[in-house]
Amino acid sequence: MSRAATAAGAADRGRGSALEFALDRGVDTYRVLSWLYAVVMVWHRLGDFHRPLVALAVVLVLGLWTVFVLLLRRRTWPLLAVELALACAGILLTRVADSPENIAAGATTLPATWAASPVMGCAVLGGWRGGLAAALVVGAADILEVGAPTEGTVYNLVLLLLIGGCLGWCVDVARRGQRALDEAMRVRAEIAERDRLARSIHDGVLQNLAFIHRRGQQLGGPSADLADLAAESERELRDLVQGRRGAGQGRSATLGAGAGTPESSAPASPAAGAAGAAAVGTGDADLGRLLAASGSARVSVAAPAQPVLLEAGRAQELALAVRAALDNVTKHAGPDAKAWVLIEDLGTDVTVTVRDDGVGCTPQRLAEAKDAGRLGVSQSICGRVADLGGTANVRSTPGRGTTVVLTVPLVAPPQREERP
Amino acid sequence: MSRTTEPSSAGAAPSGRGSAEQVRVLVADDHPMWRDAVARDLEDAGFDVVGIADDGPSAVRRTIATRPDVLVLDLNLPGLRGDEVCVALAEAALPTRVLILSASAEQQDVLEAVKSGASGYLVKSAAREEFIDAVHATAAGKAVFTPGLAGLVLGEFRRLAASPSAPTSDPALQLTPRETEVLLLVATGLSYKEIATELFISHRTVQNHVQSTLNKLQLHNRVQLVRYALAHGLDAPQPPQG
Repeated sequence: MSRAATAAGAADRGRGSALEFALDRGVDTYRVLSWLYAVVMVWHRLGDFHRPLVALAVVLVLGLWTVFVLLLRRRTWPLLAVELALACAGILLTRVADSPENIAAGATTLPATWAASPVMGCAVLGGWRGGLAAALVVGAADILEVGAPTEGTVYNLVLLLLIGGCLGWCVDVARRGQRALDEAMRVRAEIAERDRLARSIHDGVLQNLAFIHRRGQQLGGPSADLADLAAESERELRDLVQGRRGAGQGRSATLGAGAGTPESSAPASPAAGAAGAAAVGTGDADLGRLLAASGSARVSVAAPAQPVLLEAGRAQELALAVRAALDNVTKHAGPDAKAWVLIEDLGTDVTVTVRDDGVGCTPQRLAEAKDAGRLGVSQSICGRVADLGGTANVRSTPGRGTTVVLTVPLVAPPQREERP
Repeated sequence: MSRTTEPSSAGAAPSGRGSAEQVRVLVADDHPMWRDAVARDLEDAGFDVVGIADDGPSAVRRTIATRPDVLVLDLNLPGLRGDEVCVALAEAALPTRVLILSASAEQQDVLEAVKSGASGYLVKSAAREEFIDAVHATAAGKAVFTPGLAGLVLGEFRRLAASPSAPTSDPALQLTPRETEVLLLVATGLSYKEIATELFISHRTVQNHVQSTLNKLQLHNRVQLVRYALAHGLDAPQPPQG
C-alpha cells in the first residue's frame, strides 16, 4: 500500500464519514461472529489436535484482539497490519497445533473464517487495492500452512480475493458518491451564503454608490468625476454579485453529462477533439454569465432570465469570439461608440448579436479587411464560430455602426466536415 | 444594463393626462437618502409626490390609499418582493402604473415583476433626466424598456414557445414577427426613433409594438395563473350571494 493511499485513507478517516463508520460496524460484527465460529471449531476438534494448548492460546489471543478492536473507534493501517499479522500467525500456528496428516487432509486453520476480517478491514480503509493486497497476504499464509495447496486452499484463496476485491470496489464507489454529496452540500451552503451577501450588498453598498452617482451628477463640476467613479464601482460590484449568483445556478442546473459529446468517438478535427475533451468532467456553462463580465458603462449585455447552457468549452470559445467583436468596437468604432450584446436561446442554436453605434464602414472595406486578414474578423471571430459549427455575419453601414451576428448550435454537431 | 439609450425613446413630451394635470407619484424605497432624493427630483420636475413607503406592505397600503398615477418601486423592498407588490396592486384593480427601479438588476426578479404587471424598468444608475422621462412615459401608459429588459422579454417568449405546456396556438399570446423584430432592435440598443427609421414606421407604432409585447407577456402570465387555478380545482363556483 503506497504512502499516498495511506495518507488519503487517513484523511478520509479523519473526516469520520457515516459511511465508513457503518462499514466498520459491519466488519466488527463479522469479526465477533467468526471468532465464535473459530472457538466452536477448535472446541469440537480439541481431541484431534497435536498440541491443544497452542490451539486454545491462538483462539484466546484472537478473542482478546477482537474485544480490543471493539473498544476502538478508529481503524488505522497499523491496527489492520497487526490484525493481518495475527491472522497469518494463527494460520501458520495451525501447523504447530495440528498434525501434518490432518492438515494435508484439508482441516480448517485455527482462525478459520476470522482470517477474512483483516481483508474486509483493509477493503474498507483502502478500497479494492487494499482488499486484494490483504487477501493475497492471507492467501499466502494459507498456502504456506498447507505446503502443497489443496482444492480447499485454492477455493479459500478465491473467496478471499472476491471478498477483498468486491467489498473494496463497493467502498470505492460509495466513497465517490459520498464525496459528490459532500461537494453538493458544500456548494449549496456556498450559494446560500452568497445570496445572503448579495442581498446585504444590494441593500447597503449598491444603494449608496447609486446615490453618490446621482448626487454627484446633479452637483456637476468635479463631483461629476466622483459620480462616474461611483457608477463604475457600482457596476463592477453588481456584476460580481450577479456573477456569483449565476455561478451557483449554472453549476446546479447542468444538463445531462456528456450532452455535448458526439456519438462518434473519432473527432473530425483537432478542434472537435479539444471540445470533446473539455466536455469530460467540466459540464456546462452559462453563456449569459460568461458574457456578463464583458458588460461595462459602454457595453450593455442583454440575455434571457434562464441560463443559456452550452458545454463549457464551447461556451468559452463563443465568449472569446464575442470579446473579439467587442475589441473591434474599441479599436475601430470610434472613441464614443457604445456596444450592445444580445444573447438569444433559440432552442437548438444560440445567437449572439454585437451591435455598436460607431463609425461603421462600407461593405467593400469590410471585405478588403477580411481578405487582408485584418479586423480580427476572419480568425478570432469567424474561425472560432466555424470551429463551433456555427456562422458569423457582419453588417456595417458608414456612420451607423457595425452589427455582428454569431449563430452557434447549442450542442456540438455529431459530425462535421474539415474546415477548408 | 444600459443607462443611456432610453431618453430618446421614453422621453417623449408628456402627453395626455400627464400634461393636463399634475402626475401623482408614490415612491417606495427602503433607503431613506435615496428615497428623499428621488422624491425631491420628482417634485422639482413638477410631479406631485403623494407619499413615500419604506417596505413592501406599506407600499401596497399607501398605493391603495392614495391611488397615485405612478408607483416608483424598488425591486427589493423588505416584506414583499417587487413582483408580489405588483400582484397585490393588480388584485386591488388600481389604475396605478408601476415603474421598477433596481440597484442590482437581478434578472429573474425583474422579469417576474414585469410579468406581474409592472410597466417599466430602470436601473438606479440611470441619469436623473432619464429617470424623469421614464416616470413621464410610465404615467402616459408607455412601456419603459431598457435593452436588458427587452432581452429578458424576448427570452421569456422564446422559453414559452419552446415549453410544451404553453398555449402557443393562441395568436393573442404570441409575438408577431414585427414585434419580435422591434424587441430585437430595442435589445441591441436602438432608440425608438432609430427603430422607426430602420423599419420605415412611425415612432408611435414602435411604441405600440413594445407596449403590445408587454401586454402579451402579462396576459400570458394571467392565462397561466388561471390554468393553474383550474388544474388545482380552485375554480369552484362561489356560493350565490344572498
